[in-house]
Amino acid sequence: MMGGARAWREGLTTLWLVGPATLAMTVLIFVPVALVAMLSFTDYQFGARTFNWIGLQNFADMVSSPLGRRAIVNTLIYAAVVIPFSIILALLVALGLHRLARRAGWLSNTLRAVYFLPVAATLVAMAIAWQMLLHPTIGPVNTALVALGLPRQDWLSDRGLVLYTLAAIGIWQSVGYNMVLFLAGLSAIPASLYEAATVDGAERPWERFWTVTWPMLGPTTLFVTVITATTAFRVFETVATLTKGGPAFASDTLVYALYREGFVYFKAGYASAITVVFFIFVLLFTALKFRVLESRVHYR
Amino acid sequence: MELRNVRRSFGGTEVLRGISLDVPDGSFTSLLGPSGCGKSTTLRIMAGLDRPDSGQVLMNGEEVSDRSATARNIAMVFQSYALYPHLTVAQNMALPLTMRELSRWQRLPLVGGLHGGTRQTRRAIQARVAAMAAMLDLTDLLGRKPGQLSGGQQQRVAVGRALIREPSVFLLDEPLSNLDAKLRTQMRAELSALHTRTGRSFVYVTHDQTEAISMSDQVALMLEGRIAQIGPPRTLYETPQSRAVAAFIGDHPINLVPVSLAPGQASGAFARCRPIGLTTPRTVVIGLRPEHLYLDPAGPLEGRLVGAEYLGAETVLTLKVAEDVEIRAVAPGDVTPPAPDSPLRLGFAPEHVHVFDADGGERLDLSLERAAA
Repeated sequence: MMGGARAWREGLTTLWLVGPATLAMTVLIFVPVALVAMLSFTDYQFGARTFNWIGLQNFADMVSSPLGRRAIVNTLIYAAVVIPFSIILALLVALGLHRLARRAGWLSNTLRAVYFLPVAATLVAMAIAWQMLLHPTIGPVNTALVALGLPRQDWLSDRGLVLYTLAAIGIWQSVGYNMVLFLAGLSAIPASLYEAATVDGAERPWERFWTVTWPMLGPTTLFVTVITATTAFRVFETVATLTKGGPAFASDTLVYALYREGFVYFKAGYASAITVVFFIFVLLFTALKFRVLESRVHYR
Repeated sequence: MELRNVRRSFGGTEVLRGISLDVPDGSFTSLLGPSGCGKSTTLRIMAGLDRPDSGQVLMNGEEVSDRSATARNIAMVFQSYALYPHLTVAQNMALPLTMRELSRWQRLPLVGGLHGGTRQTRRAIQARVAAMAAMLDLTDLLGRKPGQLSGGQQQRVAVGRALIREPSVFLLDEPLSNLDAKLRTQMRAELSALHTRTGRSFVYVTHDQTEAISMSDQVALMLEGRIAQIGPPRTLYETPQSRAVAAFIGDHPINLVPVSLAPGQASGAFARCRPIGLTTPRTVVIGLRPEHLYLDPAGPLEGRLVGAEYLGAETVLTLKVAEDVEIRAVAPGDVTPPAPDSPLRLGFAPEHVHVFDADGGERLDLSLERAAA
């Protein structure tokens, strides 16, 4: 039975290759996720010896309490601002740098590094710089506004403004990363397509963009969107360092609320419920990617 | 379309060293040459995708160097086909028409429909796409995306997209090089038929002499940035103007043998021959195509057989006719080659002898004939 022995050996090899990763995934990801999902139906508190099953009470609390709703709505607003602006800005910057690379390569490379800097830098450290910039009285941003004859703004302590200030910082941070992805996508577009477009009568930059660039960037744009969205939903560092969710929870977000409930108030059950909601957001987005958009952008 | 003394350099390397070329209306002109000879650059300059450093590009007698590809109304088929992957076959073929015949506003989705003529124009475009698809046998594929098509089908879509707006000149850049051998032969015939049917000027870039010779009215053989010879395929084959042209054209590489000639007397391997038309002694290179040499017991070329390569329809014999001189001859496939090392004699007709200058390589008006015994 040579064949049987051989199949057995191949099976063993497969197990060797797949086994460790599967085990690690199970122990480190699937089990904790299942535990969190389970905890979200309890009133467990860290350190407590017992807990009670309370069904969907945590979720109901979250949706019914103004604080929980606030965190959800804030996160959605933040994402709705950051996702489009970050993508459009990154695309514009990438298009500019891509064109510039042909005429002045060194300048393009330098600017590319500059745009990428916020990605490489620690956001917590950068937050200190932002705090300085946005300081109500001595910050350069307000100084500039006053010089232009505009009223100064309380960027981080105005309830109506703080979320958008954080969103602006989020955009600033993610544009560089998205730009690098777009640049890679742009350089992969075959030159002959642009030439064909020219021959076919698409001469103006705008026509060339719609005929070739935008459709050819489809897969890149989808990937960038998903990455930006998950990062936006996860916003935490800027909130924790600059506002702590304030003033009056005006900049409270899902992940910051999760941190507060879980690690400050030790309400593990409630924090788990927030995690599950957060997880569902990301899952929905990813499902959207795979189900709806993937087949449309690869043109098969 | 006409090029006059066109030059083009890329970073100090002169790629085109003065190209002058006339493409008569309705002709099928091939630019033939090895890779790097500048044939694609020439085509791109004709298309308006590149500009000459100096020289003129004329269409119907007008200088068009500064006009874009769109303004020249040329069409081009790219080596990679360059189809738009996000558009269907029908949309790919319609694009040149929508770009030309609809205004910017009419092309916009929804808003475009508000303009009165949009719907009619779109319908007319669809009709023309359908007619073109029928001509190219693409009707069943109109709804597919390029990614779902085979190489030959993509090729046909590219041709359809180029032909649909009735261009003044039709440029093809190595359109068959990505196809397999059988499909290539078939597409060759289809392109020739298409040329006859449309009556447009075709300019065809290729490195494959079979394609150039089988399809063209005129072939421009390009070597190192210059046109080495231009003329009908038969002229290039029968009277190559230089040694380099003779060496490039022909399925079997031509035999080139350096020989010293004196009036009435040739030397070396050709000792039994007599030059025709020679007045003063000179050193030349004799060119003889393998297919023009035949086995002849009384032939003037004598040698020993060193190799025989059987190819089915023919057998290529390699003879050693002198120290360091080997000559290849093509015999019909049914000839049984003699044993290796056996002596053989070859004959040839004087009109098949090409004589080139030993230094410059230009063609000399000389020939060889068998000396009287």
